[in-house]
Amino acid sequence: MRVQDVMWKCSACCTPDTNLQDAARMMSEHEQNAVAVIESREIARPLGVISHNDIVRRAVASGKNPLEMTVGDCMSLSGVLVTASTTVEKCGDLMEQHQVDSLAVVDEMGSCVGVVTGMDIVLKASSDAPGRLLKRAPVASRDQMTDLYAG
Amino acid sequence: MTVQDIMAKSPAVCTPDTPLSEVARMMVDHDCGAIPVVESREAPRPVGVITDRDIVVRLIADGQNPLEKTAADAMSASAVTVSVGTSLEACGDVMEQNQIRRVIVVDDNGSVIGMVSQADIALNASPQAVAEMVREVSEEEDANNERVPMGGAYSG
Repeated sequence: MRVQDVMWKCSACCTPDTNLQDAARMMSEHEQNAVAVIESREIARPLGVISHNDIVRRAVASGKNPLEMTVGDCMSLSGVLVTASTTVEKCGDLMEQHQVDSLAVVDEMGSCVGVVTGMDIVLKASSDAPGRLLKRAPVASRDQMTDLYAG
Repeated sequence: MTVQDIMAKSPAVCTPDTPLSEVARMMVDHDCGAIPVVESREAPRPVGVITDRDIVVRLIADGQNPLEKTAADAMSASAVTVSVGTSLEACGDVMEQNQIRRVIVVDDNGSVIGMVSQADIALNASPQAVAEMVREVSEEEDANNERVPMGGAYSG
């Protein structure tokens, strides 16, 4: 299985100057957890990803009105990229290695074509993911969770 | 093994009148994407759940400033719960049946005492587990594909 089987296509990419309301609307309309951020509409070089989590943590929790902010104020920069033909195993390894839950997907020219999240991989890959994940859960202790969150 | 063995114990909770800025800070402080909404601090019976997605999709996407809103304005007003003695398999079934990624764990009095989150488990609790899971799923998919009879191509 490859990234192309689980990724969100770049129909809903945004740029750093996109306002947060529009980014939120993209997430809502496309039912995506995250949207890839590209340099500009003309230059589709990916700069990072913006997620629900980024908006709530960096805007709302900080007491800032998200309606007055742009994607550039909240996004997570990412230097790690995958292509549509990257295997999901490799993608999972990269997420683990870099401790991120989403990555931008690029074509051979380095242009952004979508975004892939760890949860999408798990959910789309298996219809019985919850039960299996729960069975696997004891692998990590709460201490490990705290360490990872802190990172 | 039951949900008690893996749940996040004593999760942060809010009430319907908690301001959303405070709810968001709880999500940051407790490193979670969902907060159970309870009747009151004194009677922590769940009346709903609020997630980071709820705040983004129900308010910000709609042009509403979350700093002027409370949990009641964005929460899902239904709370799927499991009791503390529920087996992991049964808990997984409840999540699948309700198509939810998080479930509230309640004690015998119906009070919130924990939270089991598929997303937290999958993405934050153990990245190694995700990598292993993906590997397993992928291998299974490949095996399934190999098992598809030649005639199957015509039906697609």
